[in-house]
Parts: sequence; structure tokens; C-alpha cells
Amino acid sequence: MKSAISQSGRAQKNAGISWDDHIPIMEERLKTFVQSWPSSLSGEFLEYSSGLTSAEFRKNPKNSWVGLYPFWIYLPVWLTEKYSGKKTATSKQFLRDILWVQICLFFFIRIQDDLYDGHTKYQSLIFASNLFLLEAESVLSDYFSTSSRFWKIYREALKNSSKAIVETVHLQQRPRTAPAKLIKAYAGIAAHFDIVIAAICIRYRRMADLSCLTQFSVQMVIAGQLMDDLEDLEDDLKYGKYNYVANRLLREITGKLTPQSKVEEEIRRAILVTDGVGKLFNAVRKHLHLAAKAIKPLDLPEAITLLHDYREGVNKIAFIIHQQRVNFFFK
Amino acid sequence: MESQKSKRADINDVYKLACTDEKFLDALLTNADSALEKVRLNLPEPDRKKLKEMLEEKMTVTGGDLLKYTHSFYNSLMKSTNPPPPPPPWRIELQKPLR
Repeated sequence: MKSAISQSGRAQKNAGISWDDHIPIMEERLKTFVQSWPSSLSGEFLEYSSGLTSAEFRKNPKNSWVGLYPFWIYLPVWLTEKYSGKKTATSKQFLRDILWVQICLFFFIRIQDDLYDGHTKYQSLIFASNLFLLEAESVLSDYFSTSSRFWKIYREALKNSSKAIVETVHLQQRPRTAPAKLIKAYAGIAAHFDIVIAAICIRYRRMADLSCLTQFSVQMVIAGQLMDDLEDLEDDLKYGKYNYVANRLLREITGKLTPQSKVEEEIRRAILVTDGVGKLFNAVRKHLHLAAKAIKPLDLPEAITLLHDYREGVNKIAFIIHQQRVNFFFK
Repeated sequence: MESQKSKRADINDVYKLACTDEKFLDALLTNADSALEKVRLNLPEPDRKKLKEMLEEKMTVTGGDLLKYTHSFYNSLMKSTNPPPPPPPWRIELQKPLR
């Protein structure tokens, strides 16, 4: 993992932040938290969490891009470092708590999503999800009184994420959903990332930055989700799930409705005989551009560096894929 | 006026241009004659016929062959690049197992 982080770790190093310091602390906190549960529940969560590491990453952790952390792990670090000015024990503790909240909220949503999607057989994890939510609330309560405006943002964000998860599953059940509808649903799922952003902005009295930051977050989530949809296309189709990429590719191949039995083959064909995947990369670039536009007024050089690296990464993958298409036809 | 003339080419020239120009590849798959004319590549008739047959054959690939090709496409997709593209937002990899 360390080597994968350091590959794209320029943004963190530029800010003088040793990201590697935070990871072991967070993992230790997660371990302690999970060990406090009934052993049957912690055992099932451990099984579940070991499956979160992708096969590709397990096979080749040094070279795999899939092992990288998403932006929402880095963003709280950049923001607290920027807003708190000098590093005090209080700001350090706040950062560690807020990162922990981010991780708890991530598991709260991720577990429910996996249960709903049938990606885990352990039904007991619904209670693990509850425990993560309660833990996040408990930590946040140390910083925000019950009357704080923070809680309104918190409830709204969780409501939006919950609704969007159900809506996304519904939209992905049929081929030929308008891609724009899926993008909107993906943006909705991302709402829970607003919680930590809002917590930091309220804590450091930077509410003027909130809308830029949430916009940045949404665009980053969409860009990453589109890459994820491409990576998961085969698996998703196996489970009858038509993600954004599947829907976009189907639009490329024909204007007519494809019989259900032929949909998978049509999508495969679209990958090779159309520039559908190239257009997908353009969509990823567009969302990275929107993220850059949103974050620009905030003067966060780490974010700009990360976005630059991601754009370069997209260009490189796009080039490899184009070569693959050319070779398919000519070799 | 000299630059307006078509360049005598072979299939390898077409391949090289397709490698660097995404739009050319797509134009080639839609209408090979017009795509070649547009980029002023003068492909002799036998080569042109061979190229069209080659493209047509791949355009109609089905079943197991299609699966085989899309698998190799996926293998390419998973190749690492440095820097990487944006990672999926819903995935975190733990540095060490929690046990």
C-alpha cells in the first residue's frame, strides 16, 4: 500500500504532510473499534473487510493504481492543515477525529450498499453499519453542540446519500437509462462526503468555502465512479447491472432498442468498434476539469497537483486503450 | 500545390496513423475510402481491398471471439500507469489486515 500511496503522494509531500503517519493510526482505531463488538459480528466484519481489497491490488500491490486512496481521505488533511495554521495538539486531534468520522461514514454507507447489492452474505453487517454511524455521531458530538447548524447539514447529507443509493440501483437495473440520470444519482450518493467538509468549514469558520469544496467533492466522486464503472463493467453485466459505462456504450452502437438477450454482446462490440470508451474518458476529463474549476479559488496546491496527476493518468489509460483497439483491427 | 497530393501508402502507414489519431480510426471504420481520402493516403487497390476485408471481419466478430478480445481489452485497462487515473471513490484498501 505504501508504494501505491507514494506513487501519487506528491500532493501530500508538497504540503509537508506525512500521510503515512495517519493511515496506521486510523487502521489501529478501526481495529480497536471492531474488537469492541460481539465476536461474531467483528468476525464477520473482518471477513467482509478483507474482501474490500481488490484482486488486482492483492496480486500486484506495487503496480496497481486501484490500490490508491480516494480524494476524500486526503481532503480533510489538506483543509485542516490550511485552516488551522500552526499545528497544535488540538488541531491534530481534530484532524484524527474527523478522518475517523470520514472512515466511519464511509463504512456506514458502503456496508449498506453492499448488503443491498447482495455483495456480502453477512446480514449481521447491517448492525455494524449502525455502529459506524453511531460512532461517527458520537465523535462529532464532541465538536458540535446539538443546536449547531452542522447537524442540519449532516442529516440532509445522509438523507440524500440514502435516497441516491436506492435510485442508482433502480436506474442500473435497465439498459438505456439516460447517462445524465446516473450522473445525478452518483452525485447524490456522494452527499455524505459533505459532512466532514462541513464539519471542517464550521470548525474553522470557513463557511464561504463550503460550496466550492462540496462541488469539488461531487466532481471527484463522479470522475472516480466513471473509472470504477469501466473497471467493473464485466462484473456488473454478469449481475444484470447496467452501469453508466454500459448505458453509454449501448447508445454508441445503435439507435434502436437492443433485445435484452443481445445487450451484453452489443456492449462488448461497442467497446471495440466504437469510440465509446474514448468518449467515456472525455467525460472523466470533464468532471476533473469541473473539480479543478471548483477548487481553484481556494488555493489548495495539493488538490491541483492531484488533479493534474489524475488527468495524466486518464490520458495514459486512454492511450493504452486506443492502442488496444487499433491492434484489434490491424493485428 | 505539391502538399495537396495524396501520399502513396501501405497498410502499415494506415496502422501508424490510426495509432496516433483516434478520429481517423473511427472514420476508417465508418467509411475507409473517405477516411483515406481525407488524410490523403493513397492506398493501392489491392491493399485497400485487404484493409476493408480486415476491418469488416473484425466489425462482425461475435461470441467467443468477441469475449476473447474484450478480455484482452480489460487486461490493458488494468495496466498500471504512473500517475494513476482517479481511483474509485467507494474503495479503500487497508494497509494491513485488521486481525
